[in-house]
Amino acid sequence: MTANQKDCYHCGEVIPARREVIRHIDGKQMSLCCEGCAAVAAVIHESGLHAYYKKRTARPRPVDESRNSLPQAFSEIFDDDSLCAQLVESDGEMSVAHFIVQNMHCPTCTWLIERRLGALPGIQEVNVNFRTQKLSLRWKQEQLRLSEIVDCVQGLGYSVVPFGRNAYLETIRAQNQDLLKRLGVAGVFGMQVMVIAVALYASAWSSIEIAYEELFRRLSLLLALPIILYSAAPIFAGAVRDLKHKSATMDVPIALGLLVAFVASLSATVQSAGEIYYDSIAMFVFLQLSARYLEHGAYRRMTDRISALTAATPSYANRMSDSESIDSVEVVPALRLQVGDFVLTKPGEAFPADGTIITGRTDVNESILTGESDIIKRDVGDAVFGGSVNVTDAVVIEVTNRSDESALAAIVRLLERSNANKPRGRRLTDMIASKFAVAVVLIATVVGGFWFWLGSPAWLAHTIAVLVVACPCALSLAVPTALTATINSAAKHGILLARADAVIALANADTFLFDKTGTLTENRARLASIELFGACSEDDALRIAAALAQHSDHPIAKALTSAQAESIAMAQEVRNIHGGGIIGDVDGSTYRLGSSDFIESKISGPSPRLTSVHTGLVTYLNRGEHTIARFHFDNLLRADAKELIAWLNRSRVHLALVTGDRKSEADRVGAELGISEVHWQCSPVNKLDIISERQKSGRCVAMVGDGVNDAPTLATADVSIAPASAQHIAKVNADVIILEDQLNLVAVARDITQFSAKIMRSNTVWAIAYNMVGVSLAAAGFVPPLAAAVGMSASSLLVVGNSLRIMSYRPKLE
Amino acid sequence: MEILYLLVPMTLVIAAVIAAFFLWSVRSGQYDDLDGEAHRVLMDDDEVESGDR
Repeated sequence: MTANQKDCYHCGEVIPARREVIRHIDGKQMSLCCEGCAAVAAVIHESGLHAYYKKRTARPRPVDESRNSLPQAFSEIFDDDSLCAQLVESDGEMSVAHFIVQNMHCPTCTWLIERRLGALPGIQEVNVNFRTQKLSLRWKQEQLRLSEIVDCVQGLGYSVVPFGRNAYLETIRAQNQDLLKRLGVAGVFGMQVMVIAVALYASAWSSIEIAYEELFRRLSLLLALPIILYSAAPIFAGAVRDLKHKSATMDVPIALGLLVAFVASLSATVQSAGEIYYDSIAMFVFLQLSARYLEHGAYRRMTDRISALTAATPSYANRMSDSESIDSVEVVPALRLQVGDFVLTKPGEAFPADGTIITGRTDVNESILTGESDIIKRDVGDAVFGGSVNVTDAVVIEVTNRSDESALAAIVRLLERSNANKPRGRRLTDMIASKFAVAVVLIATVVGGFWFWLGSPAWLAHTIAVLVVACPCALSLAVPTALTATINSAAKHGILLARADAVIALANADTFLFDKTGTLTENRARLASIELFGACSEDDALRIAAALAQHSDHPIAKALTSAQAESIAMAQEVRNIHGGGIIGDVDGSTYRLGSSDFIESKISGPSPRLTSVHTGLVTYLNRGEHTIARFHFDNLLRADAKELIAWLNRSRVHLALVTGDRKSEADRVGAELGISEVHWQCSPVNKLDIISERQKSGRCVAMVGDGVNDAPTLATADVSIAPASAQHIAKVNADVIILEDQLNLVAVARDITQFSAKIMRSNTVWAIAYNMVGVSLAAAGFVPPLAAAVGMSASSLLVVGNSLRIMSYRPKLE
Repeated sequence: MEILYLLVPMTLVIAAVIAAFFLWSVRSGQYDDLDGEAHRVLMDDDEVESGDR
């Protein structure tokens, strides 16, 4: 750390030595960390939107870094007319298109994008939704091309991905609206019912004319009708469905209680004698629907986030104009693929779209779609899905579904999979509910029979009171309200709980496995030292290596170029040898830069120097047959990795590091962080074995990882955690996604779920206790309708209040 | 107390009107993005200085 260290004006990162970019913007001299940041800052100031820098609440990533994955001139493909036709809905004059904006980091971003686009000619309406990261546009296409819009957003440092309307997400929206309507109706009419109920209860103290009492009772019935017929319909439908499948859930006892209460009140109203329970019914339906609406809202927020995170990333495909000839390959943006196109997919690549194999056979990893880690054999004629990974051999596929639609289809499969996973906590209450329903009916029969045998005229009233009081209102709210509060509260802290059962699994996890690279360490490599073997100076070796490294995207190459920012030499005749290294001419001599295998294969006879012990990541630079320098790299530990591991060690969970890296590096990281158990050189299969071994011995395993290799492991672990920077396939398989670049959020996630599990337990205990006491009192004949209504509401509110404590959760990680 | 025969039907009518109004507001999508509006209201326009607007 030097005294004159500067932070980038745009992204706030420390500017690496010798890489400072200086620009004059608005008459002021600004220091920036990269050309990308400089360009974005200039655009923002030119558009008069520099208030962004004052308003923003979070800082972006350095622009050059976040753009690495983005193909250059990506926006040009949107000039293609046929592609435009696919993405844009047009009604003659106005056009509508939807996108996902990636790299948005705070709500001010939505303001920035809306302002910038709004100033363009022809734009009618811009809407950026920060929660769903969706950008919706209405504009005149003859005034403004789609590519110009995409360019404009990218100029602000964001990337955009087309995102069409999606039937599945539309259904969820419709369900949400439907629930809200039923809730609203229950609220409006419920309030009227309760106003009248107060008048009727008051009449017990000061008498009221019979005619008016009759009027009020009939009015209550009328007002309760929309509640029972419209608002409560999903509850009854659920109960009927459960009875048909012979699987009793909470809906059954609830519907039973509601039905008994309503039928008893109806006959009391018609006969002008007996107790009415309309107020209890209204209150009950309202509370039930509120809980369901909140739960559904949390689920909807979750699906929106997942679909934004996993939306198709811009990619390229090898299109073949002739399926027989390998020479006809042309690289095109995957978005341009049409149904019927032939695409060559090499091993290690993901299929760009859904298709059928027409030449070759290969093994495919479909874990993105199925969550299963198995490798599946695919032969000629078999279907493959966009996003699944081709593992072993090159194949040619015929496209059967456009790439954007394939991606959407993949998201839908993913969402359905996560939805199919019922939270374990809920399954527990469902189990209680099925016993509950049977017990309630038995008790009611015994109570009714007992009072009847005693000859009491109130035997029916007592039986009804038992059934109404036994209605498990609080119990049915115990787990869903806590889960909803947990999902919302976690989102506030930058944690996305992608599956609801992750809450319970994470709270119970007693073993944490960590991947190393990209998880505990930064993805970036750093040049640690240079070893020299010849008459070459350190500066020269680095200058030559950087000249070659400029031509590669490999992380090691980037570390070399960033170590040598100034005066990079020019390299000619550069060839990139896949999986090996780079060959090129610098200053008149030919150099090779790469791994020891690569270097050795090009020189005659093994060089004694190259067989020495390896430590960490190493790259060699050779001139002719002589190794002139050896570069050592290491991965920086993430700043908060130590904090997280120390916290987990204190909370006495078992920790292990599983990495594909070599022993020395794994040991170094393990020792530095305090992880005693270290597994090195693990293949994905080894990692899987480690997990299933633990699971067999009864442990609940949490896996933290970020790479393609980790995807199967993430799918197998009881709960899996991935950072938002993780590779697409890893994110898709993760239960918990850490949205911000802070590793210690893993600790926050663990802490919040444990708190939530505690709340769920206390909620359940309290709710069961209330029902038991209530039923005993009702059986003894001590529960009039007023007490039933008050008890039901009070117990429910207590449960909801208890769950709301999770919303005000603050991490205490001492 | 005869006034009740007027007030009670009025209650019913008003409740029905409120419910209908609510159903309309839900259907027109006013509850679809509750978070976005919360942020948007904080973003003033007056801080934007000379631009191409």
